[in-house]
Amino acid sequence: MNWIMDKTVEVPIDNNTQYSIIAEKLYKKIGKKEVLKGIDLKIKQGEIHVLAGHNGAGKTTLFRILAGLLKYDSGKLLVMGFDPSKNQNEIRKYLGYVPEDSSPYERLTGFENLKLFALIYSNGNESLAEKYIKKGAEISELSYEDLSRKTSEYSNGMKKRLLIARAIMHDPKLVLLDEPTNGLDVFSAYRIRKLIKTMSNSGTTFVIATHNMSEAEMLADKVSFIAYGTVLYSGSVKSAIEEFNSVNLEEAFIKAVGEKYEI
Amino acid sequence: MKNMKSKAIIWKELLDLSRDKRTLAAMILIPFIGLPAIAFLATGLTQTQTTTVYIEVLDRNSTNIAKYISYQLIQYAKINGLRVNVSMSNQAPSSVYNLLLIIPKGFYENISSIDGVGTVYLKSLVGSLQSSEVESIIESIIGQLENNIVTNRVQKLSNISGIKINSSNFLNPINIFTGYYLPSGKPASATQVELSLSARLLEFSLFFVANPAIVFMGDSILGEKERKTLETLISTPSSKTSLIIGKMIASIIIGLITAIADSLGVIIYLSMIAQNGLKLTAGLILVTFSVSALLVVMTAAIITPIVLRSSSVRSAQAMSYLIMMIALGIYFSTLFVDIQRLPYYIEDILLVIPFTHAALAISNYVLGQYLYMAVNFLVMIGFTLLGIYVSIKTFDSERLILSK
Ligand SMILES: Nc1ncnc2c1ncn2[C@@H]1O[C@H](COP(=O)(O)OP(=O)(O)O)[C@@H](O)[C@H]1O
Ligand SMILES: [Mg+2]
Repeated sequence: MNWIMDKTVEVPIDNNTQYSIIAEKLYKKIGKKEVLKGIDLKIKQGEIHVLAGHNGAGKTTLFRILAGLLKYDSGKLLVMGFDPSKNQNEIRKYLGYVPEDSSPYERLTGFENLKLFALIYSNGNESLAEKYIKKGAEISELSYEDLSRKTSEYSNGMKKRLLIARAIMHDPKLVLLDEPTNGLDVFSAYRIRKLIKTMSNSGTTFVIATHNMSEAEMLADKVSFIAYGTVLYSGSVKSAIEEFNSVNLEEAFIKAVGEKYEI
Repeated sequence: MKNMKSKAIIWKELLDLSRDKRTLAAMILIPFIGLPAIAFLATGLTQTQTTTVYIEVLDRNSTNIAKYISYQLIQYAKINGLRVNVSMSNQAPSSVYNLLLIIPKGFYENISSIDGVGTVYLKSLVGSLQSSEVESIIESIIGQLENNIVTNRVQKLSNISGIKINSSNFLNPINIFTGYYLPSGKPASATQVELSLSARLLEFSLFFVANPAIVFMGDSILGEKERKTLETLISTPSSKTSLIIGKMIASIIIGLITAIADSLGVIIYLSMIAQNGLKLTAGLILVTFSVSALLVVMTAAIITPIVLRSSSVRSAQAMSYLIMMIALGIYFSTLFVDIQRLPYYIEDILLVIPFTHAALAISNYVLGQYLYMAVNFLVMIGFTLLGIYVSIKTFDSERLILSK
């Protein structure tokens, strides 16, 4: 065994490991429409990265590709070091995903919803599942009574909180939230943003898609402007505002899109 | 490994279903009451047909023949649950009638002579089912009348010739003894003959078993899409195999419940109409139950790749209906057709349809062809495995997510 110790092996530093997501020239067609036209994106581990873009920009499509649900046509993609078109099961172990238009099982209670996913994530390990459920219940900030009710009786805000809790109770390394506050009132949206902030402190990467620029401003460590299937800008909120000489992110986004597409 | 995830999915499917009262009711009640309900409807409706059949018996001779026929007619109608109004006269009726029986002048003379032929005319109003029933009653009354006439004539000739004649033998010179045999050539027992009649009904009842399976599997996948739970579920580490296997096993459990409901329904139905010679044995019940359970699983396995490959919810439903219609076609035809006795090219086509083997398994059991029955079971298992295999091989989350 000594020869291993003796040899001074030069270990190449793999910069990739510090990135949760690396996308290069990612293309995707749906039907006849080119939806993603060369997405370039790097998302560092542990940051809250907001994908800010207009409706139809391709955010949801990108998320689905990241989760291995859709296959990309060309380009390069690594999610936590794996290619989602080949190793989606590796990625999914460490992934939490709340799709844009999703709902909990409405005939099941909050607890039962957590239990189903806890059993899947723990591969049937009851005590581990129990731990996940406890964590999920905590994250959701739903009362014991509420969690014992069927989710068909929940408000939209409660449903969303349950979905997010269900997606992060197993301590994933990467969480994708697609329009997490869409359709929620001010209080619910605030609560969810607070939840995201708290959870990201534990080193989890959050990627959040939104068309709401003030939300992006509130949440983002880093923001990427995504328009018409391409990434126009990627950086901190502050530098985005500076770069486009704007007062806020909204104006910066509009200017960024205007520069490129001459709107 | 993946079994544990399947287990979670089975748990969820059953819990979800147990709270979906409407689907549950359909899956248990339809097979349970399907057959009795159809039978009750069919027999009940004919019995409640209350229209009266108006019959005119027009006798130009005013003899007792008109009275005899009218009397018999009323008696038979009573037995058959028909309502009749018989009136006799010696001139053409003025009001509308359903049936008119005309006994012309000279009829009595003709039938009274040793070889005369009497003629009657029977006219009925078109389009009445009940009239035609009464019509056949009148025909059989006249048939009896003919018997009486011939007996009289034979008696007369016997008296004249002095030869002793047994008029009953004279009328029926040939005895027919009927018997049944099995395809193997051996004689069929009385039980087997009765069971083969029950088997037809049992085969028909298979439709009520297949139907909920089609509904369940379609809903299990498309329902998740509609209720917006699918995308999250298939982005978890539950592999597509555990997903499909989980849903399949849930459908097996549901299948067993459906099969029990169906078997009970059939037993109740057959015991209600037992006087009509339909019979059940424990063996037949067991075979029917096994066939039903396997049928549900097979149906679920066949429908899954079709649902998974559909480009829209609507096209999946259309395909499900089509398959349901094929099942209905097969099982309905077993009421009237013996699949084994069809021309070879038709039988071959039917054998390619998985549903056929469920029906054949039952009739092969009744006919004592256990080897063939085993083959039917194997074919069904084969179709099941094929369905699962194709489902897993062609599972495409992209199609599932993007379909409208
Ligand atoms: N199922 C689909 N069929 C056809 N086109 C689709 C489908 N889903 C998305 N698209 C197209 O892809 C483009 C990007 O959509 P999406 O990724 O949902 O954008 P975003 O989430 O940024 O609003 C849209 O222009 C939309 O028309
Ligand atoms: Mg979207």
